[in-house]
Amino acid sequence: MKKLFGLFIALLLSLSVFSQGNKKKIYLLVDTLNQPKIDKQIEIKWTSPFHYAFIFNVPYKAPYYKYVEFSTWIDKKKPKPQIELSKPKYPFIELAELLSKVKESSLYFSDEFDFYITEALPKKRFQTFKVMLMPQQAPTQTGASLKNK
Amino acid sequence: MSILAEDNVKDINTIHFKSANNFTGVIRYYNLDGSYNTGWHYANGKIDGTFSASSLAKLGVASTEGICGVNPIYGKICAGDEKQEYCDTEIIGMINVECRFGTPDDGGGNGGGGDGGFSPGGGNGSTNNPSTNADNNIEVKQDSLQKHYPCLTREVLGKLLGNSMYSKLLQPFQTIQLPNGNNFVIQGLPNLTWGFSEQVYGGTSNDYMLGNTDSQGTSSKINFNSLAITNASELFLQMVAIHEAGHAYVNYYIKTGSYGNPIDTARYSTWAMDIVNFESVVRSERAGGNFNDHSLFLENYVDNFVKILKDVNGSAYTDKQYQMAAIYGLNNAGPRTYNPFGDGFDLYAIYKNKLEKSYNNLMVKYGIIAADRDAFYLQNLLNVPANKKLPTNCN
Repeated sequence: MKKLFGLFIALLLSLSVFSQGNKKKIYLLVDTLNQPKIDKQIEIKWTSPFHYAFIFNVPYKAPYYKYVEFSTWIDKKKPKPQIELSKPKYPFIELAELLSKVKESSLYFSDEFDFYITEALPKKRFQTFKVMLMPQQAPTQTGASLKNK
Repeated sequence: MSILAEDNVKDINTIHFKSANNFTGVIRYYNLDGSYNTGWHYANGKIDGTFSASSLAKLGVASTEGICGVNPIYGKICAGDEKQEYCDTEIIGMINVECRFGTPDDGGGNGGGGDGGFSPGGGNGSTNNPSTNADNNIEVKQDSLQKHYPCLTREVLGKLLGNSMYSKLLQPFQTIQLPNGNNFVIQGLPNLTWGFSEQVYGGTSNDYMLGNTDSQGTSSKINFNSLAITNASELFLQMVAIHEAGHAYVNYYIKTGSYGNPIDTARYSTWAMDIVNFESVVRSERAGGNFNDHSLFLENYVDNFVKILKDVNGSAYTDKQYQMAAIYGLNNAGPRTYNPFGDGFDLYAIYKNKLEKSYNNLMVKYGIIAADRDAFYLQNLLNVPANKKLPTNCN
């Protein structure tokens, strides 16, 4: 019985390792240096004191608001990654392809992919972040139905 | 831990008691129950004094949490004791706080609500001067709500600000003013903005919407229903302000959590924190919206709704009337959310069912009869005496 239990645990562990290693790595280059100041398609900003976010405005609800947000947690223990002085040679995908993947399975995107964004900085410098797709909270409303008006 | 700077703090993450760099000001430590422990004064990074609670009082600095005066702001910062340094989420600021209930200069009144169209603009991720950082709107603006509905701002939001329990809900969104008059700024501080939009309000419908809340990141925008502003009682407008502020508060703490690291509610145990005492929401967009927020409100929150309303209005209403007002709309699960299935379960149906049970339990607890409740609602929504509505001239 003990052996059987051990085998079961080993199987679980191997499945876990396999599933983690099986995630596909995808990379996106984000260059906001030359985008127009109004009607921005991409925004890079802090959405909390620790969330450094890349926000892609889209013409559809995804699923509640018209943007897709990826972010990474930054603090003293986990500071921003090192700046690179040349463009890293990752197999970058197009933004449209990324958004298509998100649209296909937003709930499972982070289970399927390890996603990295390389941000283009001034003076031809670059910084690459591992980011997570941020879930959107459904809008809330306050109201009641009164049947006997 | 709290930091009281005497000059502009450029990088909060570089400050802890062992290495305060060029910091000038006071760093104080608190016990987990919120009481004051000890503190030091720094001049250009070097300790030149130790502070007790009484010496802080002489400086005019409160050592306890106040309301719209001295309040904490939570953040990630490294601190430590004599033996070991650690990094954690802590109170990172606690200075003079000016409550703001300004709304954006977006004109308001732009339709149905809940659409959540994203408005580009904002900061660039650096620690900026507040006057240049659109993400940290920290001054009370002459905004659309103030401009179009000054009586709502004064009579509803203004009166509520004096209530300590209500102010807890606004705490994450408050501005922090440094002794030199400048504002304390960290990138990513959340905004709470108030506006209005026209939503369903009776007529051919049986539904009476009073407001809604949309959240982006840790920030939220609350829209009152403009038809409710002109038709509903002040009591119900107060109630909706509290209710929507609760939604904004829940969203803030959910979004402030990191994946796999839910808020430590045992450690940060204010009453309001109890409403975010669940891990699953941190990860799941299935659990957003009315159906789970209202469930939390019903279980942890309604008694506080009642207390706030009673504190603000005194004997103008009976306890039961306050209770009926406080539960308004809490049995509304909202529309079915996007992909509510998880592990084969229909989470929306589960939460909706839970919501209805919690609501009915509260009706029993308070001894509220549905017919009395509905009659009271009509008195506050449709057939409202003039002396119970907002005044019409507040300029």
